[in-house]
Parts: sequence; structure tokens; C-alpha cells
Amino acid sequence: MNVQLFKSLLFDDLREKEVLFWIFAFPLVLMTILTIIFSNMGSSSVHFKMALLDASGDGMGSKILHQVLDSISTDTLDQPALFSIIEVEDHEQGMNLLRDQKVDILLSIPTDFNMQWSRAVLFLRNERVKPQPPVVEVSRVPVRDGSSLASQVLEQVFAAVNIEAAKQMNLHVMDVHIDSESVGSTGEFSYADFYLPGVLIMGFFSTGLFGLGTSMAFLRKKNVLKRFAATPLRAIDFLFAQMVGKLVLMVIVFVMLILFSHFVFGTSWSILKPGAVYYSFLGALTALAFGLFIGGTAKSGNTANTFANVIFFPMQFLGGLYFPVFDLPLAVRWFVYINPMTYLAAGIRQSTGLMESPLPGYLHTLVPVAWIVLLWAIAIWRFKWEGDTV
Amino acid sequence: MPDIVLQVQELKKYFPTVKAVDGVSFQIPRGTVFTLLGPNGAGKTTTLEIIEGIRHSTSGEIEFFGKKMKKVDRQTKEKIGVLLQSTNFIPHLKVKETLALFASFFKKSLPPEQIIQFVSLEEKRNDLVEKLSGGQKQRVAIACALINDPEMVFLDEPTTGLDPQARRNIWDIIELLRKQGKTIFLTTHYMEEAQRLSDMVCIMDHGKIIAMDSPMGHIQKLGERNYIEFSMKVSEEEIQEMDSWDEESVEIEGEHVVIPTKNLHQTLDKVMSWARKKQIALADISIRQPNLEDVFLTLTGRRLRD
Repeated sequence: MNVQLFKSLLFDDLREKEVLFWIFAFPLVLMTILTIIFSNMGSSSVHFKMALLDASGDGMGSKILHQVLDSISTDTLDQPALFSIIEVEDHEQGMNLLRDQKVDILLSIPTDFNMQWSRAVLFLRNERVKPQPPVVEVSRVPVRDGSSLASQVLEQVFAAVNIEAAKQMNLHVMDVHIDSESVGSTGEFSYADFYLPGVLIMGFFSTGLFGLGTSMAFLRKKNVLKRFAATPLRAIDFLFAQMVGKLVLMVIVFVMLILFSHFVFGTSWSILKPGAVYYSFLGALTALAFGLFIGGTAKSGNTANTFANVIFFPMQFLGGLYFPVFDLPLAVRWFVYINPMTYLAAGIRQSTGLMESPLPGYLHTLVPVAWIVLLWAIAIWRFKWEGDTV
Repeated sequence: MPDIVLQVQELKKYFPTVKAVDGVSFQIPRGTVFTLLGPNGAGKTTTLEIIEGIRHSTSGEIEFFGKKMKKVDRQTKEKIGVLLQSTNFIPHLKVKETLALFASFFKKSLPPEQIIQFVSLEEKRNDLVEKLSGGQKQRVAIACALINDPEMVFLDEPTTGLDPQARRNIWDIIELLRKQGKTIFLTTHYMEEAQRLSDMVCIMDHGKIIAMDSPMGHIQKLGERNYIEFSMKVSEEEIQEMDSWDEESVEIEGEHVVIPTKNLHQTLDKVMSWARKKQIALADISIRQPNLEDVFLTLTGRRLRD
């Protein structure tokens, strides 16, 4: 690699005020705005619908359970209810509501719930018999983020009840059984943790599309690349130096954003788990591929800028960076599935244990890699030192 | 036999709507200044960019340092220095960083400080190139063209858009390069630049070379001739009268009149008598020798700036 070229391109970026703002400051600003807005909205903006199938009849256990459910479905003075509950007669009715997206989750209380509860309480002090705690079942639709979130929130509610009961009576009140794979949440749902992967991916693509793609097109338009073409410098050396330079900027964005989010919003260090770092690196390479594609094919800086904007905004908003996208109408959902950001954000969130991805694991790598190979090939094939001149 | 550095044979570059270069041939001996002179759009820059390896030709052959090639290779680029017609740099680099960058593109290069001194930019070495004046930027561009100590330097319209002082500075640099024995390929549409700097001037128009000679050779081909120039307010009737004075046509542009003549004393006497008779005041009257502008006008019927 031409180290001097790499250094020159990096210096050029670091001395440009616009670059400093859009690449380094903007992700921090966006992270702050998103977290403050959504955290302050709290449960007033988050509201889930739950179908409740209670086959347990009367009993102490179900009475306590209903008290818990009442507490989360009743408005208080300062907060509206987190859940609204629709009681159903049978499992099929509940599943139909779930399928039709009329509810986010179905909570089933089995017929033997009270009996299990009583047994657990009865043998509370008996060290020889260790009865299983009563179990409730939660059904959800994994590909719907709202459904996954609702089941996680309910899990947290029951976990809180368990902790309180354990303190008061040394009793494990109940277990929640979810009828699909484990959610794997490591703690309370945090908006900052949710947004961090999204803002990271946004920052990478902002650097790739505008820092690499648009700036390369401007260098071509101003004949800087044409001047390079009159020297022995090879195109591949130029492209490589460009990519490594932007990768360094992305690493700086990664470190800054993680430190800022942790110390300001208390995000978890789980973003540094190997899986999350892997998907972040894959995200950086994908963003560079998009940047190279634009920089290699756009005839002018303005074309590149327009092209980058046209790609960037639909991709971020339909890539699940800031809000759930799997519930979107079919007409736009196809874009969600071809969008590499969808897989990168889902991959990072799953790796951090924040949220299970509804997508098959291999697609988290396969789709971004397919984009990388395709776009790098086009960029290298179509690369020109000079613009359109006669 | 002179040592030929560059030989071009039947070079053509056709675009869908225009024949930019249409069968150009020439050769350049080592240590000379070879100039392509022509108006804008004559095909000078396209010719140069093909030779520099920036563009592909439609057909034709280039022989560089004794090696025939269709497109200039990397080894040849190691030996040449290039100044493009409009040069821009990576905007936020300092002068010395820009030179270090260009030095890194070549296997062998001169120390940037040496080149900075050569183009008299010592005081600007730590300034960002984007903050420099037009003339200073052009000196940085020339410095970049010289950083690899090239055997041959291509300078595409090096003084276009510069003020007279900056233009003279660039001319001084080119003359220094000639003294160092560099071979220089220059393009320009300024006849005084071509006349002052060149050993050989190739006049180009509409993609073709229409004449090739030394500056004096071109002028001598016009024959014994002088030009009487003056300013006056002229009417159609007076223009017709003036046209009948000599076998050469009188050139009138606004209030400026140029009369070419092979018999200076007789024509001058005729002009003065005519002005007295008509009671016309002639301002700024002068007599001058022919130049390359007159050569171009004679060859094409147009001025270089048209």
C-alpha cells in the first residue's frame, strides 16, 4: 500500500470541517436525539396488546398473577398502561388474533397453574422436595419486532415479580415459557442499547457513501485523479489507500460512539462481544463497497451526492436501524429483505443479546457479503481516473 | 542524428461528434522545447493527454525513449513530468505534503525541499495549497511535474489565466529547465509565449498540424513584411478605400487598424497623406515585425484568440 497516499487522504479528511461534523459529530448527535426522545416517551409511546387465555380457574396463584397483569394494564397518574389485555376463550382464538396482528403476544395460563402454585408454596420449607415453579406460556411472532419486544417486556415483569417474591417468601413464583427460541435478553430493555447498533451502521454508511463515494467523485471532477493517472500510481493502489483511510475513520467513529453511549447513556459493553464486532466490521466493509461503487461510477460530485442520498435515506429507514421494520406492508418489505443494513443491525443486536433476530443466522453474513462482492466488482470494473470530457 | 525522445506517427482520436486529433505526426529531439500552438479546441490537449497516458488513441503510434507503444506504460511515466491544463490538488494538504505525496508515486524522486526552492515557494511550504494564489498553485503544479526529475516535461497551457507577473515567473522556470537540458513539450495559445520559449513550433488547427518550423522559420516564410498599426474612427467608405492600398488585406477590429505591407515606406507615406487629406487623426501609430499570430492568421484566416 502507498502509505503516503493513505496519510494524505486521511489528513485531508481530518482537516475538513464538514467531514469532522458529518462523520464524527453527527452520529453522537443522532444517538443523543434518538435516545432522549424515545427514553423520555417511556411507556407512553410503547404500548403492547396482549391476548390472555386463562384456563386456571380460581386460586391463589392466578389471583396474584391477575394482580400483576392488572398493574401493567392499568393507567396510573403519571404513566399510561404498558399493555392492553384482550381475554380469549381458547388457544385458537388467541393465535388468530396474533396472526392477524391484532395482538402482539398471547399469554396462556394453564389449567394446573394453581395446583403447581399451591405445591410450590406447600413445599416451600421442605428441603427434600423441590417442586417446579408454575409455568405460563407466551406465544409471539418472531419476525415482528413489536411481538418480540412485548414478550421481552413481559419477561422482565415476571422476573421482577420473581425477585420480589424471592425477597419476601423465598419463593420462585413462576416461570415464563416462550413458545419459540429463547429471547436471550440480558437485562432491562434499553433504548440506548437498541439505537447504538443502528447509529453505528448509520455512521459507517455515512462515511462510506459521502466520505468515500462523493469525495472520490469530486476529486475526479476536479481533475485530481486525472493528474494521478499521469503518474505510475495504479488504480488498485489508489482505491486500497482510499478504503484503508476511510476504515480508520470508521474505527474512530466506532470507538467514539461506544464510549459516548456508555458514559452518557449507560449502554452495555456487550457491543464489544466478538459477534457484534464482527458484524460491525462487516458493516464497515459493506459501507466501503457502496462508497466505492458510487465513487467509481458517478461522473460528477453532484451526481454522486444525489446518488448517495437516494441510497442512504431509504436504506437507513428501511433497515431497522431506528424502528422495527418487519411489520411494514408487503409493498415495502421486499426492500427490507434486500437491504444489507437490515442484516447488519439485526446481527449486531442479536450478538449483543439485546434482541433475537427473526432472520436465519447465515443471512446476516451472506447478504452483506453478496453486496460487497457485487459492488466492489462493479467499482473496479467501471473505475475511471477522469470524468466526461471531450 | 539527433537523439529523438518522442516520436508520434499518425495519431488519431475520434469522438462520436468530433475528430479531436486527426492524423498528427511529429518528433522531438532531446533537450529542445517543442510547442503546440493553436486556438482553443484545436486538439492540443487531447494530443498531449494521449502521449501522457491519460487517454487512449483511436489509432496511431507513439515511440517514447526508443520504445514503441499504443498507450504509455508505467515505466515511461517514471521518466516524464506532467502539468495538466487545469490542475487541482487534494485540497487540505500543505505544499510540502503535496510534493511528498507526488514523490511517493515514483521509484526515484528529488527531495521536496529542493523542488520547493526551484519554484521559489520556500515561504509557502507549510501553507495549504487551497489557500495559495493562482500563480502559486501553478508553481506547485510545476513542482509536482518535476518531483521525479523527469527527462521530459509536458506543460499544457502553463500560463493560461495568470497575471503578467505570474506568467513571467513561469517563463523563467521553463527557461531554467531548458538550460538544465530537459526536453519540454509545451502547448499554448499565446503566440508570445511560443515565440519566446520554443525551439520548434507546431501550429495546430481542427485536429491537424498545419505548419511546423522554428519561430523564426515560420515568420520568415511570411516573406519581407511589416505591419502598420493605428487607431481611428472608421466608416464603411474609408474601409473600402484602405482595402485598395496594398495587395494585402487591411484588418480592422473596432477602431484598431492593422495594415500588412511589403513596402513599408510607400505604404506609410500613403497612409499619412490619406489621413491628412481626410483630416483624420491617427492615434497610437506603430510599425512592427511579423509574429506567430500573423503566421496563424495567414495560414487559417483567423486569429489565435478567435
